Amino acid sequence: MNAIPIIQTHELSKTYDGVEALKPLDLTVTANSIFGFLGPNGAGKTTTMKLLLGLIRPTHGSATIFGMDSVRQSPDIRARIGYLPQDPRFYEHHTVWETLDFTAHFFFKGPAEAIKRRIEEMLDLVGLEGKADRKVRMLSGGERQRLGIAQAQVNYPDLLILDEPAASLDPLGRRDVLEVLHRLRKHTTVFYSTHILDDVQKVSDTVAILNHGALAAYGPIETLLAGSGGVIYTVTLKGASEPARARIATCPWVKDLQTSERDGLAHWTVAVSDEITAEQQLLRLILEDAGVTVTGFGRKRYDLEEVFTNIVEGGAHVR
Amino acid sequence: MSGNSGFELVQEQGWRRGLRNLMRQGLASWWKTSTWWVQALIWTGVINFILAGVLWSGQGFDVQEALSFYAIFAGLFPPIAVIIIMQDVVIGEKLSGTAAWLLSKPVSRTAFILSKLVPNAVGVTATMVLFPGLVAFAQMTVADVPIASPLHFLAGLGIFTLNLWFYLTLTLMLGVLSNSRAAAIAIPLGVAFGQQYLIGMIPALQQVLPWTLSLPPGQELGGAVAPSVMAGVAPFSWGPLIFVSVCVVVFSIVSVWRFQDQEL
Repeated sequence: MNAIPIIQTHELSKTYDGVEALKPLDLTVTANSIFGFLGPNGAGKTTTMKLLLGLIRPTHGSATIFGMDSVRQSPDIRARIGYLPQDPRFYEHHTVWETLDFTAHFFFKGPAEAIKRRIEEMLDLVGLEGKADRKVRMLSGGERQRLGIAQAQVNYPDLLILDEPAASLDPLGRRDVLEVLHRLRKHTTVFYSTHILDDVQKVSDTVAILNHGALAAYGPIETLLAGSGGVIYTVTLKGASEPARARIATCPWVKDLQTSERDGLAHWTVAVSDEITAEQQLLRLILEDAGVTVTGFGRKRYDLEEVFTNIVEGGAHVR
Repeated sequence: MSGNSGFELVQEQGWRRGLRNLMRQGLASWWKTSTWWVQALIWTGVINFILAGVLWSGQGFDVQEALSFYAIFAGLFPPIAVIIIMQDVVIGEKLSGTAAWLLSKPVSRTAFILSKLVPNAVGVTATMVLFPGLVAFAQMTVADVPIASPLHFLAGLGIFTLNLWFYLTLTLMLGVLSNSRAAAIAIPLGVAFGQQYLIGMIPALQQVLPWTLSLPPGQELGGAVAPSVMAGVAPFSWGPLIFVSVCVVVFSIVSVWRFQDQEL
């Protein structure tokens, strides 16, 4: 994977009337990644995006995008960015076509035919090709969101900043947006916020979780899903498992062993302190007992919702 | 941005960044919609209907009286329309989020404010001063009102324009400084109608306030700056013209300056 940094923040923070909306944030978003930015309402996600776009100024710290300072070189940065606001608002008297044409002319003078083709391509991309002449005020929330995605992409930006891109969309619309993000990845870096954890898990490669304005977790999604409470194995056994349990529990590298019975099967959760030893010996030690059959064995993987809930409700930090 | 090689890229830099596109949009909102002809029709109708009443009543008139009536209606009512039009121009965009959307594009904040200032200034000048003025000039010519010269009449229209720009830039500035529509409309209206009371209390203020550009400084009908210039007579003072010109420049500069670090 290309590791060229596109966004870098250095202790970037924002305070409103003495309230820290964003605590010092250090973050790196690399080229061609799909970076999911998560957090509950008021966590500071939109504030971070607005800081990156130069719409608000940092109280402390700085950010660079494409190596340029987000405050001093903001227009140069914005020439290479596409942005979808959380609640996209356009001129109500414009049609869909006029909105895209207006947006395109911030980047392109012409030729008119090329601009026309680009607009048609964007309409096709978001499924609004039949609504080009519809006034913005006549669009539904989902259509407005699609128009927002189209206008953000009209200049083929090097970086897309999307604030809740799938928020107003139905499940099919969400699926389409995820497909678009996935397709764009070859050409573009995507930095997006969302509440829909399932979407993040499907398309993101890196995730940051903000909570109360502070970075609570940040890293490749695989790392986050592997969890932070050490290595945990889950084992499902059939038969007389008690002797095996007693044997495993005494191993010095086993930190904790929880058992439960369900549907005639024993379910173990084994927390280990030595990952390599556990990998080599755990299954072998269990199978020493001929009276037990292992029907399931694997390293525990969290789903993102579990990680998110742990962090937001429990104040846990994963990094 | 790969894949854009078939395009001619916009080359504007610095404060001009995005200006051309924003201006195009701002002018289109006047001239490619019904706004221009609705405003032109209203003001050409209102001002000239009243002027016609003076000119064609059959009771006779003098030059100063005709011009003063014209100046009162051309100088008193259009500013109210300007205030109503301008009060939402910046605040509306700040509150709705369209300002944040536009400024997420390669657009300078100076260009954003200029695109609110210039197209609206052009629009109100044409529809509230120029079109009604041309019809008024035609009426006066037909009625044999001895206007000093077309140039004097044009200079008078310039003074009405300056009067409108005073309220236009004041309201624009308040829209930048505040997010309150009430403040952006109440303060300019208060200025527009409070001046006569201020002049009543402190007569020296007639030497500077915009009121006397088109409305009589004293109890007599004549004497305001614009009708005096139209009639080829020296106005009682050039002070209001100078003061209003300075205010227009100051309000515009403050609008541009204060918008630079507005948080959107």
